[in-house]
Amino acid sequence: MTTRTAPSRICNVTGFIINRDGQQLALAHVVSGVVLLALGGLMAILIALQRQGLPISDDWWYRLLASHGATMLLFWLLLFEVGALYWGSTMLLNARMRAPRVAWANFGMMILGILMAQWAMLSGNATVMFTAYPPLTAHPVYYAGILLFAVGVLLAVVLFFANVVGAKRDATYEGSVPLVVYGLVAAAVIAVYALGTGAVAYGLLFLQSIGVIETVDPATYRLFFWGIGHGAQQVNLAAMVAVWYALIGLTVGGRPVNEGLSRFAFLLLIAFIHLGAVHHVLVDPGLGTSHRIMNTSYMLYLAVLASLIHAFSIPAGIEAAQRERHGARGMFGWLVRAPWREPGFSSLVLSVVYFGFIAGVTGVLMGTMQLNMLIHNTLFVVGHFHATVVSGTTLAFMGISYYLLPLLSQRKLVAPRMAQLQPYVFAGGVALLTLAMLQAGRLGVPRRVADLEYSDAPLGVTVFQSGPTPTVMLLVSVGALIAVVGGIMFVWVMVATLLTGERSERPDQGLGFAIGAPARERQEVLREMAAATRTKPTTDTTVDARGLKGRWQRFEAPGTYLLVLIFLAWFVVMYVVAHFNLAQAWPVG
Amino acid sequence: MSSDPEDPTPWQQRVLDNLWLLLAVSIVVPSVLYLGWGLWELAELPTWGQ
Repeated sequence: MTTRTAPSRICNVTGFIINRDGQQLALAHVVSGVVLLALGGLMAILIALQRQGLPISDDWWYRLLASHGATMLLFWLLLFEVGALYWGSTMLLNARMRAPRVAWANFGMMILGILMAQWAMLSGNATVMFTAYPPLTAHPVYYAGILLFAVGVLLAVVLFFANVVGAKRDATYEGSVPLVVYGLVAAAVIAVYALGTGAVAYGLLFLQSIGVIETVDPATYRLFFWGIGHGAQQVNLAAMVAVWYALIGLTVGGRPVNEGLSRFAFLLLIAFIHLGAVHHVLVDPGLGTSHRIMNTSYMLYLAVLASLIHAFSIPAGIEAAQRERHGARGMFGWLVRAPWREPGFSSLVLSVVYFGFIAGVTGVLMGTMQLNMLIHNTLFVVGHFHATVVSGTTLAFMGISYYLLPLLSQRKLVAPRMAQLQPYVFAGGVALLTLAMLQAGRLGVPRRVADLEYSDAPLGVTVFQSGPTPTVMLLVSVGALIAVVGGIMFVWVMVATLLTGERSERPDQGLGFAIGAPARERQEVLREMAAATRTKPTTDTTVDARGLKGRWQRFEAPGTYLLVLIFLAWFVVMYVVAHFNLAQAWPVG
Repeated sequence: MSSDPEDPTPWQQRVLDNLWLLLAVSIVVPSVLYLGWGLWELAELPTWGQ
C-alpha cells in the first residue's frame, strides 16, 4: 500500500510549511461551518421577530428553534473546530495530513448527518429541541443524522491525534507542541468523552425510535445527554482559548507570560470541566445532594480556576507585547495604542471581556444550586449560553477567520473596512441580546415557549404582557437583529473573499499580521531545525505559535493586574446581587 | 513519556505532553464523579429501570 503525500508549500506570510491536504480539508470544514452559521443566523432572526408579531405559526417556531439550536451549538462550531484541528495539527506542526482520503469521506459523512437531521427538524419530524428529552420522540432519521455527525467528529479527533503523534515521530517539531496546538489537543481530548456520552444518549433514543427498546429512562438519558450537551460547549471553550492565544500572536505578536502555567490551566480544564454538566441536572429529583454539591460547588471550581488563569494570561500577553514591541507606557497605554481596527484584535478583546464578565460569571452563578432553581428553564439560561457560544466562541472564531481564510485560500481579504467594523456590530448586538435575555429570565420569562400568553390553555397567562417584560423582549429582538446584521457582514466578507478575492502569494495585504515581520526569522528557525541533529531534544517549552523560541526576559502587566481586580470585584457584586434576588424570591424568617 | 534517563525534560513537562495521559484523565474523572456516581444514585431509586 502506498501513501499518497500531497505537495507542500511555504506560506509567504507566516513561514509555515503548508500541507495541501491539511489546507484543503481545513478550508472545506471552515467554509461549511460558515454556511451553517449563515443558516442558523437566518433562523435566529425569524425566531426573534416572531416575538414582535412576525406571523410564524407555533409549529414552525418550534421547527426553527430546534434547527437553530442544533445548527449553532453543534454543526457550525464543531465543523469549524474540526477545521481548526486539521489546521493546527498540520500547518502549525509542519506535518502532513494522515489518511486524507478517510478525512474527506468522513467530511462527507458529517455533511450527510447534518442534512438528515435538518430534514427531520425542518419537516416537523423532530421538534424535540436540542435536548431531545424523552418521552419526546423524533423520527429515527433525526437521531441517525446526529449520530453520523458525532461519529464523524470523533473520527476527525482520531485523525488529529494521528497527525500529532505522527508529527512527533517524524520530528517535525521539537520539545512540546506550540501552545495553540496544545489548546486544540485539550479540545480534542475533551471531545472524546463528550461524544462517547452523546453516542449513548442518542443511541438509546434511536433504538427506541425504531422499536428495538421500549422506553428510555428520562433521568438516565439526561445524565448521559449532558455529557455531550455541556461537554460540546467545553470543546468550544478549549478551542476558543486556543484561538485567543493564536490571535494575540497574530495581531500583536504576543505570547503568554508563563506558558507552563497556561498548559497547566488546560490540564485543569481537561480534568474537571466536564463536571460542570451537573448544573444542568441540579433540579433533577433523582440525584442526591452530595453528588450535586461535590461536582458543582467543589470540583467545578478547579475548572473555573483554569479559566481565571487564562483570563489573566491572555490580556497580560497582550500588554507585555504592547510594552515590549510597541513601547506602550502608562497603566493603559497598551490598550490606547492597541490595533483596534484589526478585526482579529477587536474580536479577541470583545470575546475575552464578554466571555469573562457575562458568560463566565453567569455560568458560575447557575452552578449554585439555590440560584439555579430560581432561574432554571427561563431565558436567563439562554442569555448565559448565548454569551458563551455567541459573544465568546463565535466571535473568537470570526476573528481568526479573517486570517485563516486568506491564508488557506491564498486570496486577499475582500472589504477589509467591513471586516474592521464587523466585530463591533456583532458584539454590540449580542451584548444587547444576552443582557436583555438575562433580564427577561429574572422576570421569569420561560425558555422554549412560542406563545407567552399560553392562548390554548384553560387559564391564559397575562403576567408577561404588562410591566417591563414587553420592553425587555423588544430589546431581545433588537439585539438579535443587530447581531444578525453583524453576522451577515462576516459571512459577506468570507464568501466574497472566497469567490472574488484576488489570488496572491501575499494574501495578508489589508490585514496587520504581527507575525509578518518575523517570518524570515521563522524560516531561519525551520532551516536550523532541519539541519540540526535531533539527538538532543530541546527542553525549552516556550515554542510559541510561530515556532519561535525564547522566554520573556521581563514583563510588566500592571494594567492587566488592575483589570483582574476589577473583574474580581464584578464577580463579588454579581454574587451579592444574585443572592439578593434569591432572598427576594424566598424570604427567610 | 520518555524513558530515556538522559532526557533532561522536566517530569512536569513530560506529564503535560503525554497525550494518552491527558485522554485518560479526561475520561476517568467525569466517568467516576459525574456518570458513575450519578448512575449509582439513580439505580437506588425504586422506580429506576421500570
